[in-house]
Amino acid sequence: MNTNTSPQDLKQEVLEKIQSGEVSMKSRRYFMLKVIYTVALTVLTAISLFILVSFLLFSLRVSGQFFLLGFGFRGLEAFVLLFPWWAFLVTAILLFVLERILVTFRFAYHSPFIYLFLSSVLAVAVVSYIINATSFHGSLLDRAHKKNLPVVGGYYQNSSAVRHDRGLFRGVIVSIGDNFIVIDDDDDIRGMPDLIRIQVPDNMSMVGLFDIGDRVYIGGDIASGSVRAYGIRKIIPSPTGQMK
Amino acid sequence: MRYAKGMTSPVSALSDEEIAHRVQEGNTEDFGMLMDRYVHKLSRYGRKFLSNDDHIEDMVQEIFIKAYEHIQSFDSNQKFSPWIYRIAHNTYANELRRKSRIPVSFFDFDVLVSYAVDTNTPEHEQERQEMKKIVDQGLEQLPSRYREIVILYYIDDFGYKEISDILHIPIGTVGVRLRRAKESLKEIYKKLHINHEY
Repeated sequence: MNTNTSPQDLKQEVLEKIQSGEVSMKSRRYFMLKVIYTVALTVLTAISLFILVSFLLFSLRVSGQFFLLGFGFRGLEAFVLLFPWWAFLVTAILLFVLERILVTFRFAYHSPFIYLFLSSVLAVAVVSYIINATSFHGSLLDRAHKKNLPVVGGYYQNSSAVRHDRGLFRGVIVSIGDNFIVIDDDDDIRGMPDLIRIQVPDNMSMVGLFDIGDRVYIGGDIASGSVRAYGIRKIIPSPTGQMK
Repeated sequence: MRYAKGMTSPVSALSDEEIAHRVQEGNTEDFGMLMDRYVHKLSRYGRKFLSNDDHIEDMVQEIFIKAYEHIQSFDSNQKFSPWIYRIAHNTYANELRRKSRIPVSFFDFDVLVSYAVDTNTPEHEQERQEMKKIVDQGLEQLPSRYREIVILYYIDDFGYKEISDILHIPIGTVGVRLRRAKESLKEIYKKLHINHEY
């Protein structure tokens, strides 16, 4: 078409294309399927986010990584190093995808984007917290330990593992001394005895703090077969049997 | 206009939404009536937004073809004009991106946060009428995101909510962009020594 096309010519050209079948109307079913697809994608993305974030919280809890936050700067450093950043990255990507889908809906673009984003983050946080409070991930972890969880079983087994290579231990106290404790570690660690002597921090008083039989989580440096701890935390079992 | 029972109203007497509904039902020839009603408006919108692009007619044709192809997605309980203007906005914005050497960003920090808007006051209406008289001048010097909103509000007479539907931005952002567009226009008028009374 050239620049001198009159509105009448323009109209005629479009109508001719319609009548010749060169241009055809997409069916109502096509748009209904598109809406269903968009809604399904939204729901799927949201469910993926709920499961991923609740799994992230669950793994931090069962591996004891949350305790590191109470172990001062060394604990914080270890927490940052051990944090599953891949899950955080995937969460951020899924949140971005969810926002991109949501802004195509009228209710979403009428409001400021920050409201939509904060609402999504809040919804993901609340639902993930609720899922984490149930036995959903715990039962999947049990199945993973029994080698009865295909595909994601490995993730669950890794989630509960304590990173000895990073100086983290979990076990039951079998002996208490003036400035040390001995624990029977939960896991068999290659190159370490079953019973591990833990040197407690100099500023930590042992009186009344721990008893034999307590389960503890320890952050420390491995040195000649024993561990010099920078943080020790007693693990209190929750009513559901999970530690907290 | 009222018609006796059994008589059908001529298509020209129907609203855009009613005609669109008839097209959806299979009366494809009625689409010509919608084209008659929008061809000048969409051409003007394109010429002002793209600053007299040589291919406006091609793009208007493309808009009508897209509108026809997607007419079943139109909800006839909603207004037709923001729907077809949304198609036009996408077409023109794509053209602007294609033409521009510098990447054109339609992202705006103002869409992130919340703003209160004050619409439909007598002052607004008076100011709108005043602006209409002079808004053509200096329009080309406005950044594209402000230029477009000025065209939609002052020239095409859309309300805040309709502009929000066309541009897919929050209603508060429409108000903020308009205010900034006016401030930019004032600066332009100062440079051009144009008297303005708004």
